[in-house]
Amino acid sequence: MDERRKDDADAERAAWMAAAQRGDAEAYASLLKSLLPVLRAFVRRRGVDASAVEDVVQEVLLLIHRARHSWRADRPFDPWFWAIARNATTDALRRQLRERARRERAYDQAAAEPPLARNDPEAQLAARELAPGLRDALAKLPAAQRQAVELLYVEQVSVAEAAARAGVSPTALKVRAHRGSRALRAALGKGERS
Amino acid sequence: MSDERSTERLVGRLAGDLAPVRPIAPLHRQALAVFAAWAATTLGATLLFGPAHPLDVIARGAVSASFVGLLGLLAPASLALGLASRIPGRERVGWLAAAVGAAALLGLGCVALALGDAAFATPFAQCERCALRSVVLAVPAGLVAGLFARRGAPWRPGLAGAAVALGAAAAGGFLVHLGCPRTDASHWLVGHALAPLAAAVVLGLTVGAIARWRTP
Repeated sequence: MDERRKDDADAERAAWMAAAQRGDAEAYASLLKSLLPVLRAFVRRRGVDASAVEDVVQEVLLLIHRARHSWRADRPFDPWFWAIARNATTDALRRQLRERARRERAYDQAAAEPPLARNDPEAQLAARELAPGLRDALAKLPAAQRQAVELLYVEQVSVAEAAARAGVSPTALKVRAHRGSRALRAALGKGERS
Repeated sequence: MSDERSTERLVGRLAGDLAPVRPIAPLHRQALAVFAAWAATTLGATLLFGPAHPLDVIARGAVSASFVGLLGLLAPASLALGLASRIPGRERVGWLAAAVGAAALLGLGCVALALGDAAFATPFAQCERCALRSVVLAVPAGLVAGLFARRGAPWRPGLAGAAVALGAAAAGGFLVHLGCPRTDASHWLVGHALAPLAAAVVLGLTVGAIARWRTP
């Protein structure tokens, strides 16, 4: 019974795909929508990070779009589709592993660097937990802004103490920290988009 | 990071961008076209260099016969791998072709090992002409297979390029071997197999890398 249902589903998708190859946008949309649930389940099952599942699903959809001429109406649809899904998911998993290894290396490197406040365990912990991207963006800030951000947001000292340590008025310190955090947000936002 | 709503939007955009496409030729028809190109090359080579004598070449001994067999096996297997690797869902054909091609390459390696010190006794200058001929005779079949591979799915360009080039060079080397009057095995190994195959793989990988670089 299950086999028959599978065959029926395959035949329906094949009919949609054949129509899509002739330029039928409605059939194409139906086909892609019918693939989404099984595709999401497949990508999750393969071990892709939950946060990256939709990215991989979209990658598969784009591949289907670009490779749609490579399916022939005299062949079943499902093996063609699953080959594309498997291929894209494997690539994504490889990227995921590379990214994880890169992060671990960056973390080890960051942990080996001298902490921002040597005698403060909390500050050391906070410094270790800084994401590598944030650490890079922080390093690019002007010295005064970086110091203000580190004191207020990394070491989390009070404004008065931070101002005293920086040798400026509390207002000036807050302005520097505000400008620094705005620059950080901009830099990190750009990094995420690229 | 994307969410489900952006995926739904993507579906809408892809459907909106849809244009009719012509499906690629089936694998067996692609293989037939490549074979026709190779047959035409054989005809051209016969007209240019005189008729080949396959039976004489086989009668030259086990080494010569094994070159006929191994190059004759490597060529179709490698070309089939290159073509199948660009068609989603034809993995079984690809794996089978890869296994046959790997066995043929292994066989060539065994022949080289069996020749021992004599494997590279002939200076390369004396093999240059045959190597060049092999590459030239590989062009028509390689070009036809390359055009089919180019129209396939947009992935694995390096594998497809290398496999197509390797297969075409093996087909070229096969033709040269059938027509070559020389009797030294090291010449066959270098001039008809190693040099053209290595050159073809480098060329195929380069073409594949360029294709990957140009893919948006």
